[in-house]
Amino acid sequence: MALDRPLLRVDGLRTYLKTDGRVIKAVDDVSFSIKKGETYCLVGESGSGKSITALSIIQLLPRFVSSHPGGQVFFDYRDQLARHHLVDMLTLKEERLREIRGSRIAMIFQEPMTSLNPVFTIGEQIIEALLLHHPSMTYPQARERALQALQQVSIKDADQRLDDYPHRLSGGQRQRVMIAMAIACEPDLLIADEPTTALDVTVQADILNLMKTLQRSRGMSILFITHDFGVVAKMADKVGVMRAGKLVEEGALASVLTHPQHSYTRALLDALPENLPRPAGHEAETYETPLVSARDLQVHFPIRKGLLRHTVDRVRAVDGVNLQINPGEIVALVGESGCGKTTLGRAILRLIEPSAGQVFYAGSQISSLPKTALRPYRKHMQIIFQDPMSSLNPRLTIETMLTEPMKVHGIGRSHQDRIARAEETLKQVKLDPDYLWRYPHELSGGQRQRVGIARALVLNPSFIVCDEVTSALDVSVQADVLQMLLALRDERNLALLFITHDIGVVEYVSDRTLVMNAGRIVEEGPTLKVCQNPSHPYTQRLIAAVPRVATVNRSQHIN
Amino acid sequence: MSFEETQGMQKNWQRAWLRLRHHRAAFASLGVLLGITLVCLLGPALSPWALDEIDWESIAAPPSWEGAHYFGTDALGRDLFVRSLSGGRISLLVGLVATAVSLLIGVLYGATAGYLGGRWDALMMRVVDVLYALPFMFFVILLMVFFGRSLVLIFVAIGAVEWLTMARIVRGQALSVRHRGFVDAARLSGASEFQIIRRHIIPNTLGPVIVYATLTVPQVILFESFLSFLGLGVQEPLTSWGVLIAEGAQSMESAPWTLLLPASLLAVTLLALNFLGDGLRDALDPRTGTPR
Repeated sequence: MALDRPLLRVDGLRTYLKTDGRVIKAVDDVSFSIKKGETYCLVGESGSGKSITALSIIQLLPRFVSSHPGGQVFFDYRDQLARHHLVDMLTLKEERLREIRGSRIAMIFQEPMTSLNPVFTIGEQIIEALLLHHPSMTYPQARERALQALQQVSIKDADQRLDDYPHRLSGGQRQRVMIAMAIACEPDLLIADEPTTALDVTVQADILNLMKTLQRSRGMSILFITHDFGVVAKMADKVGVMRAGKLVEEGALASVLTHPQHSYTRALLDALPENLPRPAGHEAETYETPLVSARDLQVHFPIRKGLLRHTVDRVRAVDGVNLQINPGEIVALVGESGCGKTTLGRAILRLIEPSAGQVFYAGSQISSLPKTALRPYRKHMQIIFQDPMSSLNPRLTIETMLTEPMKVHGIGRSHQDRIARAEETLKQVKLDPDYLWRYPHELSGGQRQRVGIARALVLNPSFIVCDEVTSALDVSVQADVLQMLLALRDERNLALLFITHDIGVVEYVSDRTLVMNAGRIVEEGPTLKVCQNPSHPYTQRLIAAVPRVATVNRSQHIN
Repeated sequence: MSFEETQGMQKNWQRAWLRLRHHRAAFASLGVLLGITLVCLLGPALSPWALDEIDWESIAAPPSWEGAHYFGTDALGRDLFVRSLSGGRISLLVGLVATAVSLLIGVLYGATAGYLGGRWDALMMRVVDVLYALPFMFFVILLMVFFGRSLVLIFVAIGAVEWLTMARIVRGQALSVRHRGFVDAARLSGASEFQIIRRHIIPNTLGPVIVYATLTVPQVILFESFLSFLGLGVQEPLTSWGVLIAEGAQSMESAPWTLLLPASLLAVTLLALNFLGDGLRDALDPRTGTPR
């Protein structure tokens, strides 16, 4: 047995997927290797083939759609008697693969909500995995091991949690359980596919720290798949950058991040909000009346129970918020999931009726206007959504989506005129006017988000709520969209309420920042001050948890 | 509606038509259905026999060309060809009209309940629950007693029952659609509730609706035969496929053609309807690529 042999060596791997008679080269000649105890980060944008690479290694792709016309995946398999075998995962028999999966190579997925079976307790799920790979183990022994695993991933009251069902745990706790399940059999390689993407930053920071500690104490290797360079900077020893199924660049963390060789890596790094050239500072003008303001705004959701559905309690989603937004100002609303930021945005637009408090638009109170009286205000206040896939009606052409609101508000003399205006708006969001005649499914994610922005712009509003508009987009597309929004702000003196959880985006785009926690605004101030010198303990924790590429650059230079 | 708008809509329908034409099974089924309808309408006129005419020479006779009994005769000596085709008129009419009625009411009702949500939804769906709980036969007998027996009443009775399930299906779909971004965007653009339901909710519930509608047609045809069997549906000498099949089943052993021929007509129709439903669902969904 050679000690310096890599744990995993992927050699010229090709994975082709067959769909609708077409063949997609999802992974096209990828080679890399992972040493024992090393963390290898595969980074790339959506569709670059990074997840398919991982699934090819562990052979989880359905056989009837995938094929491997080339390549080998050598894994240093250590069997139960600690004998080492060098096996090629691509040609291994299914029984041997099952031995390796879960015990020697474990995997954790992005979505902790769906990766646990809701009808079994956490304990049952971990114990099942253990008994599967250790037939000689007794049930009490397996339970003991499961308990240890839960304690190792720092779950409080682990002995009670063992008998809990998944729905009783938060997202972060579930991901800890997934990690506990993965490490219970003490694997040599852990494949983590975007394990923290669905989590809040503070939770993400905890999980990443946990993975690092576990790795160090067990000498485990990690193949970490992510799109987030901040996470890469925190986790990786080595980095591989993927694009369109090919590994375009590979190297040690510091060299890839500080001296990227390939133009694509450079472009990706330049597109990070923290690296984007800041536009000239927006002149803060003074206005007598703010464009939009809220006074002691509250949104409570009743919790109903019983046959007559009487209210037993309330969830205070928004609990007394005051805010002011001036014309042409970009205000960021930051907070973690469930803090009420989306509800606040929707309440300001009266997509949700506020329970108490007032909303003013240009000095006039709109929060208690009847629906018909509200209509003239509607066109001044618009929204852009997070998910460009579900926010466009799949059955309408872009043309209908853009012209219909104009028709409602009597903008444009004729349909021809409205089409001309729609074309103009598409040009402003940098889309070809021909796209008017397409359906949403014919566009890419970034193009759909541009259509979403165009739809908000056609009525020529003065205030737009941007609800996590870039969270579903790749970094390079995100950079385009952010730059476009900034340009539109300057052109039209638009005021934006920018709801996001991404501090990098906040720093780049906003003039002023509001930090929200548990329905209340806990800190407010100019973005630079809030992000660099936070005063509230919650904000401090939030800012500290953000993984940044810049930290690597600096520390590596000193080294 | 301006000229260009009408043109735009025409374009969408043209694309849908093109997609349907590309769906071979559906397009062939459409041909089969049209053929059956045409034969049902014209066929009886081509035969020398009338609906209630008894041929004393051939009672329960097998199909033959000589006596112009192409499908044979039934136990009373009536020509089965004429009876099957004119029965087809009734069955197709009941199937299509009652389904259309249940579609219209069910989709509007379900989409409204699902979109409005909350109290309105609860109230509207409780009404549906109560109607569900009413025994169907009791309801039909009540109608017959009050209004007397008529074909229109069969449509009303069946439609009044079938829309309930449709409303539930549509309501479920509408609930999942109403929280999507485009509905909020439409509200923000000042569109009225009716416009939102018509433009954004209903089109996005179409897939399951069409599938369920194609399942409703056979259900309705069988319902009608059930009513007729109890003496509440169509009356002699008028007939329907359901009635013919029920009669044929009784003389299945001595005269199998009295069961097999009307039954195969019904089976072919229902099969064609299912294929057509599949094709329509795909054709009306713009996400199905337009064939070039």
